[in-house]
Amino acid sequence: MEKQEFNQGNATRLEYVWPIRFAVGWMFLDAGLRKAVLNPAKLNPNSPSFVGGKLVNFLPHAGPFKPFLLMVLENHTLNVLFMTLFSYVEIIVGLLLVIGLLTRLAAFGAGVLAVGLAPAYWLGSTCEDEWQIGSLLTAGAIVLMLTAAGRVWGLDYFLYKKFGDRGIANVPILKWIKLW
Amino acid sequence: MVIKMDKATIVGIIFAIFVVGWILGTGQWAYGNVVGPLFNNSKLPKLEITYIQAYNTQKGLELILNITDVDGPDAYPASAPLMEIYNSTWHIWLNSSQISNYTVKIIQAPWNVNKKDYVNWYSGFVVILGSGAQFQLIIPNVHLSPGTYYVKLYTPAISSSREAVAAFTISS
Repeated sequence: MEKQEFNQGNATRLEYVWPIRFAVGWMFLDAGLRKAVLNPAKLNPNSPSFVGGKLVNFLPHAGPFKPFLLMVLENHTLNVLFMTLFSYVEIIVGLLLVIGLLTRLAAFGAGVLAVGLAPAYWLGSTCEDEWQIGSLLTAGAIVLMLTAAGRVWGLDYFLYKKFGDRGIANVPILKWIKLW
Repeated sequence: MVIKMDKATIVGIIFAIFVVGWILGTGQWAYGNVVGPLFNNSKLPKLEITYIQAYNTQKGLELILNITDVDGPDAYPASAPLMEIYNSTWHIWLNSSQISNYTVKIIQAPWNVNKKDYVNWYSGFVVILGSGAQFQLIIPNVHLSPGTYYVKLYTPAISSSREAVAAFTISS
């Protein structure tokens, strides 16, 4: 295979993207593990620690997200389901990014999760906490998605070697969301 | 002149525009940190009375207040340990233990989840950020003559302009 030089300085080597892949991946993995494994009470709707109650705090300045939050909060079953699903998606996305498997799809998911934190962006009593977290995770996820960061120092190396480039499905839009 | 761009450049530009737009747009929305004025709704608590009604009853004044917490840090709830009912010629203070003792019923908002709003002797009204509740009080031995009155909730450490105020009318 002919070696392709990406730029004159050859500075776009994917080894250099690994710290971002680990950081973004670990942030989501940690967020999910905290709720689902380390402190399962956070996903127990009967516990005072139930994380679904956290959505209430987002309400006052959630802007266009407020109707959605109210719909979830006023439907207890939906709230429990939503928080449980959200947590397990965080674990899956985070784990896939850390090990570099299906990295582009996982990074797409990470980007959606990071954008989904927007209703909480206004929260941060000492710093601009949630907005900074959400913005950096959004940008990081997009970098990982565009660079296919799992193909070096990740399991996507083997998938790409065997199958080449693959989209989710060979239909418009989905074919642009690559698996690895 | 024709500018020719490869696919990677076009994709890069699209996502660059999205990221810049997202970060600047949400930063302005959340904190006004692009063109100002700067604000941070998460710093200080702010209670709001969204509904108020009052009646004279045989036991005293029945006061119904819907209170919600619309600003402040999410780490702890807002409280109002002092309450004033007044008009231009008369007023009464209720301290935290009186607020607690005179509250006969609390109806939680349908969106409240595991953390409920409450009253206690030390903090008076306690309202979780984003939640809301209807507090029903019967204030003994208070019977108001017809007219317009105001209720003001005093939250510690905030300026007077941020205190929750609402007006009610006693018709007969």
